[in-house]
Amino acid sequence: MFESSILKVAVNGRGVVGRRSFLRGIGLGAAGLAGLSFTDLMAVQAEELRKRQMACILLWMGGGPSQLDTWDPKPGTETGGETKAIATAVPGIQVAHHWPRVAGVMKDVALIRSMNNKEGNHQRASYQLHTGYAPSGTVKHPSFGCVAAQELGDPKFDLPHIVCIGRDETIGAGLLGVKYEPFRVPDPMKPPLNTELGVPTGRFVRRLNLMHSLEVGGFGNSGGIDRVREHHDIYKQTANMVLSPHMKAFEVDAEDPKTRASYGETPFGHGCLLARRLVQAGVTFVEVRMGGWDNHANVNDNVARNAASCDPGFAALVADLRQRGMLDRTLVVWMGEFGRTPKINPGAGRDHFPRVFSVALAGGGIKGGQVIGSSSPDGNGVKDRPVAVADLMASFCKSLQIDPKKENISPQGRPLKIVDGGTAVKELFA
Amino acid sequence: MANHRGACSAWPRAFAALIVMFSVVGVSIAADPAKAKKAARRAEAKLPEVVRTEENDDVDGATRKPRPPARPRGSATLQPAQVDALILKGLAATKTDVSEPTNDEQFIRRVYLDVIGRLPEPPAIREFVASRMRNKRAALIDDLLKHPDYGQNWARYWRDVVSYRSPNENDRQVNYPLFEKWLAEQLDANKPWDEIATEIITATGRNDENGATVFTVAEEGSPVEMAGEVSRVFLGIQIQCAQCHDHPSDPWKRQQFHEFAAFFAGAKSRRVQKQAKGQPPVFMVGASGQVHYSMPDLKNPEKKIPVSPRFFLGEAPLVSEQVRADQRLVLAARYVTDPENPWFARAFINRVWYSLMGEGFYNPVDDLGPTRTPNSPEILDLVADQWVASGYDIRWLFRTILNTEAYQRASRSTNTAAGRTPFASNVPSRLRADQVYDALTHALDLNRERDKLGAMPARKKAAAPAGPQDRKMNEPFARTFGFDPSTPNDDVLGTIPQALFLMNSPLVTKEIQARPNSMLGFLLMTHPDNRSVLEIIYLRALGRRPTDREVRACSNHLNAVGDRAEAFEDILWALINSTEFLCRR
Repeated sequence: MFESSILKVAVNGRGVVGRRSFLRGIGLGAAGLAGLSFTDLMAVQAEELRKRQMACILLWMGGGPSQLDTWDPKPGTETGGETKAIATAVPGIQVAHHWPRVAGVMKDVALIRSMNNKEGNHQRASYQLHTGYAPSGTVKHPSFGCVAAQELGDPKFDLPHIVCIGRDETIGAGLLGVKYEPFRVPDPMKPPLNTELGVPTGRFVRRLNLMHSLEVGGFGNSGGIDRVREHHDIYKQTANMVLSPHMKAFEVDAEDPKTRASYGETPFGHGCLLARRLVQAGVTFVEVRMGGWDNHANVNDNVARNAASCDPGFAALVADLRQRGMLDRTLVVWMGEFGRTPKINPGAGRDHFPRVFSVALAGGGIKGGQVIGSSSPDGNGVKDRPVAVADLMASFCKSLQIDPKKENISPQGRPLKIVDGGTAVKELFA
Repeated sequence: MANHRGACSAWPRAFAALIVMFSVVGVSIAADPAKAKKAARRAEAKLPEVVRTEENDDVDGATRKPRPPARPRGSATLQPAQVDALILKGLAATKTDVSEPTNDEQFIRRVYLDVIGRLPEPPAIREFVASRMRNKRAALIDDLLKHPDYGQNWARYWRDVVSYRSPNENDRQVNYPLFEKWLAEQLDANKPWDEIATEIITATGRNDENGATVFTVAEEGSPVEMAGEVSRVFLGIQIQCAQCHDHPSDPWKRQQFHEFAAFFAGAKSRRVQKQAKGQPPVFMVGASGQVHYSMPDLKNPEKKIPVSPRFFLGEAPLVSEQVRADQRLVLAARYVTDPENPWFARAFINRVWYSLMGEGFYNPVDDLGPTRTPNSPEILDLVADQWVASGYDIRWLFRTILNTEAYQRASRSTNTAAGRTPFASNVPSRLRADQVYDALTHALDLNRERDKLGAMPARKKAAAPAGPQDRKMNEPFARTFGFDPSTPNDDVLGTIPQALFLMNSPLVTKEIQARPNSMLGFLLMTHPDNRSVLEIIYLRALGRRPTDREVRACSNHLNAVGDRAEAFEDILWALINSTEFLCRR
């Protein structure tokens, strides 16, 4: 790895020289690539991305929100139910009447109305929409957020690269290992579990030092050195985190009351606000989870109630990121595991429906103010421009500039691409 | 009687199929074709008495319940010293020195954790160390193998083996607690491993009544998941990699995978009782009637290709399409557990050996098979032959390994080449979640308060007891400290939430305080001498007395801090947070 060490010296020795410009400087075009391994090139690219601090916020709508009562209303039809359509800031685009605030930021939002999938089971579909893969006993695929954390997270950053806000569990890092496991914050208004020191800082540090000194000459000296080293790495990382000034990012109540009010004083609103604070601090991926979308009964009332907190949270997040100049480097994704049936059932609800559903995207280089694809008038299928889960995943990769073809190796030594097949939806980036 | 005859008369066709099949079940699966032929002749020769008599029929004609395979249960003659001799021979060839034997304190902690999953009480440690009995280690091993927690400890291990790979993400549906309870009973009764495996593979009934059905519920009754996991768990063969396409580095073809999956074509796990408040749903596991299995055509996904069952090892014949679903499962269990199938014994031995020694023959523990190269195959072959001869006697296997000098060697630094040589020393590994929970309860004497109050204190909710009620995902402690036990030891890493829990959790923060009714507070009140307090907290937390160096470091700390209670709180914190606390060594 002679070339690789040269590269490091050149970059580290003169901090002003970015890797890519350095490569250009030495005339490393396609012909010059021979000297560099593929990994070197990937490392070069990752370095660039870390500098740009690309980030992603996933607003997860657990249960499967109804496309007909969110981004694909069909007012005045049997399928459309009681939901009305309202105009948005973008002429020609209408959304369900539950979403006035999002309608106001539509210039930054792209809607995909032609998501198309086959999986109608909550767990399996959630897994698929998080990882891009169907669940299997062989491999635990990493969720996309964990992949992004691995690809984009700055190793020197002292908070976790991936945070999941909400009471229920998300899909984890799988084969990427515990290092990229989402750090959970069950309640955005409370500090994360066990991050508050039980004793004053000085005493905490004293204890850490005592532990260290006892261990190095103890277990470390009698066969446990590998274990001790690994343990101390984690303890160092954890101690750095709890003592980090970045921990202030978790203090949502320190935020300006006006900002808080615009996000809404609800768990979801707080979650969105915390997500922005974390991304601002340097976290790569934040998932904000909201449940309550499995509306087998009374879909209209339930969507109205959910939207009351979801609409302001989502809209305020997009507006706030825009205002702070963070939107271009932050992809915001609003989605659930599937959509709901066009037919309203006798309980005034809608059942699981993966065949056609909607996803909303903003930021991260996405061109807002557009609708991609459409469902048929009866809502029973995709009318044009079907988008598969893999296409969506490939689009996330394109937005965050992650190579979807990069392979991670499963414990059985099987290479697994970040995204299996699929093509990024090019209209999103037009 | 009439019933019985009726059942029999319905059998002829199935019988014929079974006989045809069993005539080759015994075919050797050894890679060497000459050996295979010889074994085939042997198997053919002994065939009739295995199958033809009614007592040995595989499925009870009246109850339709599978019968355990009627196999001779002999006894093994292998002695631990013979295993050691082979290990030493191998090490001599590489000129590797072995590490010194464990001292009694190291040994008792290790063997307690390995067999019953928890730490010895301080008096038991003192008594064991003081004992002059010549064979005290062997006697302790025997006692622990009969201890009621032995079955539970290993049932939890296997529960995690299954649950961490289950495609069913909803643990509550699966009912792992019943699996754990059922398996613990089997292990405590020392039921042979082939019988346990057979019961799991052929299980029928409700998952709130029969713990053996939990495996099928975990695999959602899916033939491909069942095939993959039965092969991985019981044979250590990752044939499921061939589900979608032939794999260049593996011998298994896609066709072979689906032929194996065809055995599970009728396995069903269907919900018979909906979820109610506080009650998980109930699933019924069963297989009956005629079934057909087909695999998707790779060239044309719309098209399905019918596939008949055939076992992928040896030269097993195709099984007739006519064989019913329940019989297919019985056949699958037969093939998997057949004494001529080398992988069934090896997969189990490899796991147990890996857990006890920290190194295995094959690593990862669930990746064996003809194309993998094991460490010291001569040892594995010997132990496997003997274990098969013993009739898959699980306690015999544990007793044999635990009594070797190799098991009883100290762990040592892996910084040198010798430190990395398998079986020259015992290698530390992390405790499983249940064990960490028990170790913490033990170190801080948390059960003390429960006894006093007569009820569960509220804080138990935060770290619910690792009893049969606990669950992998829904239970915070297990979720924080749990890991898939099929993961290689080197890949089982600590996590930030684990560190946070031990560093800062209200439970630990409160319980290490020298309050009047805490463990430490009580000790400080009753023991004016710092040395004895130190010794007791070391015994509780780490199962050993402090070394001289540690005594010095701790007295320096006591002097530096000044406040006795505060200094001891720090020391207790440091021990609970130490690497050693979280490891078996």
